[in-house]
Amino acid sequence: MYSNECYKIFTRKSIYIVLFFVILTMYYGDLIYPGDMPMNEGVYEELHEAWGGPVTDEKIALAREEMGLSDSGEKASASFEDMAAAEVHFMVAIAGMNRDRLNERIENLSGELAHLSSGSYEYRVASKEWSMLQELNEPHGFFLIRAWRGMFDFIEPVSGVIFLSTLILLGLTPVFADEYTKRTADLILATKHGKRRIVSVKIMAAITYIFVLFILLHFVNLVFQWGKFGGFQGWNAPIQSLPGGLSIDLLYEQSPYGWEVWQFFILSFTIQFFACVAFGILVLFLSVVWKNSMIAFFISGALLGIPFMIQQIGLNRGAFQYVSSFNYSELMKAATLFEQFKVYNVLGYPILYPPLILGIFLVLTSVLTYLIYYRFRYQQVVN
Amino acid sequence: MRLTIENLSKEYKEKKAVCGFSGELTDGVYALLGPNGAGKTTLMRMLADILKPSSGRILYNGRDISLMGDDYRDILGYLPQEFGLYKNFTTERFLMYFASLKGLDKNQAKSRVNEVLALVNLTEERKRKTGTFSGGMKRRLGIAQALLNDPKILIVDEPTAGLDPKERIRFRNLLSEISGERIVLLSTHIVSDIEYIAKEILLLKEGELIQRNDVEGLLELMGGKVWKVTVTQEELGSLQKTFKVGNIHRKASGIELRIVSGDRPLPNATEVQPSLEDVYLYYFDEEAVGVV
Repeated sequence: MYSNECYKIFTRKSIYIVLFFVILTMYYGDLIYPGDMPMNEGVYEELHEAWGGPVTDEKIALAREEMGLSDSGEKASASFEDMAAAEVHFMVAIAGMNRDRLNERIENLSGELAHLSSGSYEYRVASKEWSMLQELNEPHGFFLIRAWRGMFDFIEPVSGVIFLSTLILLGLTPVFADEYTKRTADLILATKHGKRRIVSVKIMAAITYIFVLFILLHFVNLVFQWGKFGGFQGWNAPIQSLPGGLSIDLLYEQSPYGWEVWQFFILSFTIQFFACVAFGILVLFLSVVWKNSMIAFFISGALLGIPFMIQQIGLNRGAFQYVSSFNYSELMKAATLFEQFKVYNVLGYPILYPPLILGIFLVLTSVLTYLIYYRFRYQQVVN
Repeated sequence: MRLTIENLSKEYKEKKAVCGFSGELTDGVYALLGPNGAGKTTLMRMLADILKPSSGRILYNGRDISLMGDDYRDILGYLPQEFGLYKNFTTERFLMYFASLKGLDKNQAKSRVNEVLALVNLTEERKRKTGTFSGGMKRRLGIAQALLNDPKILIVDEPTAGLDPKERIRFRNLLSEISGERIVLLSTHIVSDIEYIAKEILLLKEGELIQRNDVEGLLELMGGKVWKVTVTQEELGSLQKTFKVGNIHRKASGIELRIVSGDRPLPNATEVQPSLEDVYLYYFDEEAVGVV
């Protein structure tokens, strides 16, 4: 039964056509918008030996001195080596500023904690942030980490969400709907396992499809990044030093999470997979409710796209603020959940945004799964 | 083996599709006969556990089928009037898929698939994609899937629609052969499909069971109600308006009519042996379909 349910999904030609264009877009997108310099030349290895690791007062002073000389024209040179060195000096100086901002934030929080009432919500928030920042171990500095930026490029940007969700929609909207439109539901529902086990098997087949798709696209991205950077150095660097890709700022410079890049990648990867499964379950639910692939396709697409639109047109205030924070596309952009310290008040206690959104979608997905079983089991064949 | 139907009804918003249907079915072939819209399909869907009755219940050997759930569907074979196939599945894959849905293990499924393919004469087409099937082949495949689990209760809704005469006879004989230790319920509006195989015929009209009897019993009830008379072209029009006219046969001597009527329609009318077509005409007031 399982292999046949997989066969139904994997034999849809439209999936392969879209997959081809997705991979083509990933390849050419990287060529057209290469983002940061790869920093895979030998000179960076040498610079890393001198400047790499967490910033120190000595490194910052030296970097500023070098930048000053360069700005004054005393040490200006157009050679690649000098330009690379100037870039590294700049990065060290920026890392120094980020370190200072972090220390300043810790001091401010210490001040706030001294004045706030220890039972108040504000105190709990400040205390939580303070303790998280305290645990960070010299996260700012210069690290050769550009290849990992590329690895995260399939997780963070909205393009990754669009690629994954389009393929999920194409593959999964017909899972239940086609049984009605092709009039096979009558035959299935009258069989021994046609009301319960079939639902489990269809869900398993849908998760298999998502898994294969997810691994395939990440593998393709990995191959592209390997080709571009020649390796994945910097795996044990702190996430605060991850460059921002197409954006100028570092995305995680003020992140309170004290993880190394490889840990963060595995976490983001897992969350994104969970997000894809959660979205897949939503698609299956709409497929069983609407009994029509096209309607399920557009409603699922709208549920994914509307919160993004709200963000884009700047409507994320009031209740919309929650819509733009707690939605499938935010969950799919898994890594961005960890950019900064963000908590929500749950019964007077500050709950971190990532576990909260995960919890909400875990509950929602469980409810939708139950409803899929319920709906299919008590399905009436009328027409 | 006993299937008891107790006061079964199904209502939709504005229509009563089945109205207080009661009866008991035991081993053998039962035919549901009635015109379109009589409620045959609705009744069969309720018996196939894919439609919930508005009231009443169905018992299998004394157990309510709505409580039996999977256990009831385990002994059920169902072929709906209209159904689809997976176009990119081969015949064999389609049947193996349904065998797994019916709870057969892989080895059982393989041998059973071979058996049913032979029964419906599709062995040669086992590797063929179902998307290329004709209407008749599609229906034969539907019959095959209904038989996969060797069902104790076989419900087939208009099973012979779309089959050519040879296939129709083959299917009729097949149903008769397998009906020994199972309940077979088939619906049709083609009387010749059931004339020689039905243990009992259930006449359904506007959702209600109006008559239930074996073929001989039904024909006996029609005694003295079927007449043959030869008329002129001028008389034909008025007779058609007054009586239920079955066959109209033009001969050199005039037009020979077969009339169903409680009273002798004309003084020169002669009583003839009734057929199932006459039964259909008598109860449903429309011409029966009497294909071979």
